[in-house]
Amino acid sequence: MEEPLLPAEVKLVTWSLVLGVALLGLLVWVSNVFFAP
Amino acid sequence: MRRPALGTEDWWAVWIGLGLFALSLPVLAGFDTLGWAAATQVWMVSAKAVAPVSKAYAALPGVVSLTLTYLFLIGAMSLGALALGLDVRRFVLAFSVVFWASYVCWLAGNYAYIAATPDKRAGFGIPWSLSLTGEAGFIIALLAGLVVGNFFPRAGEALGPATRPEWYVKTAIVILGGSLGVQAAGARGLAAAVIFRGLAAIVEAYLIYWAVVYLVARRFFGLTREWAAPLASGVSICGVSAAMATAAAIRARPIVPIMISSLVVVFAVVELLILPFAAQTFLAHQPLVAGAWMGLAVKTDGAAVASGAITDALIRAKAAGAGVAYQEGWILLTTTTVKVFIDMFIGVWAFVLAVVWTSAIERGSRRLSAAEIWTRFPKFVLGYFASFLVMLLLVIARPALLDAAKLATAETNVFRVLFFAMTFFTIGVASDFRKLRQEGIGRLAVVYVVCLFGFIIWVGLAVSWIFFHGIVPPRVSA
Repeated sequence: MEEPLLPAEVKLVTWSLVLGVALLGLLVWVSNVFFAP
Repeated sequence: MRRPALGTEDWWAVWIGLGLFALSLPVLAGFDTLGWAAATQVWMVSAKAVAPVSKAYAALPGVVSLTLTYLFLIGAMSLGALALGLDVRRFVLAFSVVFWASYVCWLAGNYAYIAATPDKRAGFGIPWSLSLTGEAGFIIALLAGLVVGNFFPRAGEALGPATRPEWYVKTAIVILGGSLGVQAAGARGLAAAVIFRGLAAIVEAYLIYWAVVYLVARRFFGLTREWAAPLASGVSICGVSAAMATAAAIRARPIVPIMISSLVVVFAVVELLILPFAAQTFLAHQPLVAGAWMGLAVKTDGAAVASGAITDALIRAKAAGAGVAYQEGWILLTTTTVKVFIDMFIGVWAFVLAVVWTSAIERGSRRLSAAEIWTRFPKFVLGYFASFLVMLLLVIARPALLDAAKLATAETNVFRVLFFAMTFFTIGVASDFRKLRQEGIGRLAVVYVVCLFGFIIWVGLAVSWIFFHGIVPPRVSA
């Protein structure tokens, strides 16, 4: 049975991706500054 | 009327899981109360397959250890059955059959020709193996259950009182929390850079993996939410446990995580056989990228760690050929660190999904009260966090307890794998082939393959590269 995407699902996916991209820069910076090899 | 807190399978999964966890804790003070439990090893000689999990009970024969394990479990589960208002006599009979059938399947799955990974073959003196890891026992249990449920329907009906896969899997997940708490605390002693970068890598991979797989499954393959969410967790996180925790969190039917778990185990073997050699060929100059990649791409703990071990050996061999002698174990350490953090995320993500599903998706157009959300909230997630945090904080507060804590969780893990095996067996009993076809395992496999080989592996590689490129293991001093 077809189940259309609910706004809550779209929000979950969007937030997950936005958070992923936003954190990428931050985590790379923290890694390089505080956890350099 | 029963109090709800004592009367649901969900709560009894928490009580039994935490009860087992509590019984494992005295070993931290030197009192080994669960060490008699029967651990099953990968085996070539059946006499060596089963033994007490703790050396303190080494004198106990394997068969006695196994019998004690059975008696203990039947006691605990019967207590739960009594509280749930079941016919205890019928439950005890059915549970006994479920336990022994599941155990035989688990034992068969640990046969070296089936389970041994390539790095372990020499130890068993065998030239080949299917490399399925011991988790093959879950597939065998599922197949055995399907045979009973489809070809011996009267036997399947007789097992009805103990055909309770959700109860078993939730109990297993509560137990899993303690084990992961120890792993996380134990990782503190490792190189801080590897730990932090491992954590960063999985946060990135997780947020991107899950969202994209879920979207692809829902929008392009038309899967329902019930299938898409556990599939996204199974393919993007840590396979079996993640699919099961997610399915329980969103209250999917038991057949959903079982079918996904079967795909996870089968394709983890394919990855295990291909990726370490690809890493040796293309990533020998970036050893820790290769290690992290194994942790992010290969599903199931067993297959991922085996991949890390093989990659460690292959890359060091190639480097040695070029005159570079890396210290052994750093690539595997990176794989294990990444995998530990991925495992920890299972509970976090199950919690997030449980909140989203109960508060926004299941409520439809009406607004749920806080009480309703609490009633529908899967309580086993709380049990998972409780056991996780207790172990994590204990070992952080007293690092000297690490080895004892590892023993404690090895003892509870005996019961976790048994609960998982019983979950698979009883799902098989409760399923029939026609229904499986109707549910569409073929389409599920296509989504899995497309996402895993078309996306997950490559994003995992990119994330590993971002956080680990340029870091190499220490050299062996001359």
